[in-house]
Amino acid sequence: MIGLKNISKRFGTQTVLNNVSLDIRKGEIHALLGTNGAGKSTLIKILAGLLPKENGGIYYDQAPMKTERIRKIGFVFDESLYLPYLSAGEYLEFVCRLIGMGPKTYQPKIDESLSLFSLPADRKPINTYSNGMKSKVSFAAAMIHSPEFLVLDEPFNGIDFITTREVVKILKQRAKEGTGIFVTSHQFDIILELATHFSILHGARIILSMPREQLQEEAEKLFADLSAGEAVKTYVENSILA
Amino acid sequence: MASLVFKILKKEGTLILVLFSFLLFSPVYFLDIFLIIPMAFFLLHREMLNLAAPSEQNVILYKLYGLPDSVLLWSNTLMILSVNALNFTLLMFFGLFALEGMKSSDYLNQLLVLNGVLLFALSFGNTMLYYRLKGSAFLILQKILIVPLFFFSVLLIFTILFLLSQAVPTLAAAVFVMLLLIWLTSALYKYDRAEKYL
Repeated sequence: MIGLKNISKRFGTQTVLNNVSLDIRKGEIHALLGTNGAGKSTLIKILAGLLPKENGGIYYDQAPMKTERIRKIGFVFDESLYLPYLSAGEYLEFVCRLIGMGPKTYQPKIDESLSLFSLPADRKPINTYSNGMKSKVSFAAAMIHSPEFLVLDEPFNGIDFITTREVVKILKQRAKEGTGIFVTSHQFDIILELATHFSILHGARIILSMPREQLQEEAEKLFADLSAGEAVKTYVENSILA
Repeated sequence: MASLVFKILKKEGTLILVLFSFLLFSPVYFLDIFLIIPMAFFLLHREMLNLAAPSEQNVILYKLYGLPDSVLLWSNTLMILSVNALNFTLLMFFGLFALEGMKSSDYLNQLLVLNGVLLFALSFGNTMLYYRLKGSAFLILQKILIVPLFFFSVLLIFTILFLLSQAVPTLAAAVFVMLLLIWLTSALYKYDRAEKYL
């Protein structure tokens, strides 16, 4: 389990995160929702160790997060992370080398990832790829070491619906296999299909965090005349507006 | 790893800039074979400062996945090899046209000063990378301080090594050995074992 406990972050005088606490469990798809500028990306950058926090703690299986544990998490950021002049295969090889894998271990994994994400195995550099393919490269790199958790920040931004469907299918499969997934997205329909746990970040705080069943139950009680999906959507919108 | 690091340095434009810096200032070899050193370093400062991490993307990758010693060691070694190969070729070329000929001690002194400054600059770059890995991946403000500090210290080391190589060559050699040890320490430092998680 990844535990975020009382995380606070300020940029100048603006408090972006105020004692934010969340638990992300293995096998669950935990969606973090919030409006633009709510602090979702900042929270993920803090979790990745890319930004310092003012206070609070990050735990992995109850123990403080350490460098070697961060390698058990795969990250996909809102801006795709790749080296543009390398081909997909070369970039994946570089990531594997950084992780410390030997050629015998990484070559089958690279072949498997290229095929899973339908990425070209040729030497064309990534900067010649389409946006969807670039995103797939980020996903492939995040998953190449079979991490226990995947942390995805707006992973569906700028990618077409076919690529989105392919990625959603892979994510669902990973979650079934026990990978914990923490995802932020503006695309509520995708999140609604994917998530098993919902949290809402608003006003620098977590204002709602509950499993899908509970959220659906409460939403359906309040909005009985709407379909299940619409009821959840309205419930979430109302929570933010309130 | 060497071929991948070579490809990164080539594609990031680092090796081209090394070639460009030395070729651009190559006429200076006619005037003074030492003067080329601070001039080339002026153009190469970005590459030296951020040698193993030419872009923010690399720093993020190293933070997330780790930085094996081989990456830093190979990028440093490739930089040393390319600078020396170019300098050596140009020295030979201009040595042929030098009116009074060139003494072998001049050659050796130039190589000592150039490599001393190069090792210092690489150590400085490695330290900066470590600093970025320990702290925020997104450095902006610090660059305002780091660049002038880099230039000042590189010029200082150049001046010290140059003066010593002319007056007390043995002391210059001792300083060079010290710089070599500092560089080796900075390149072989176990970045992966450092507690860099924030």
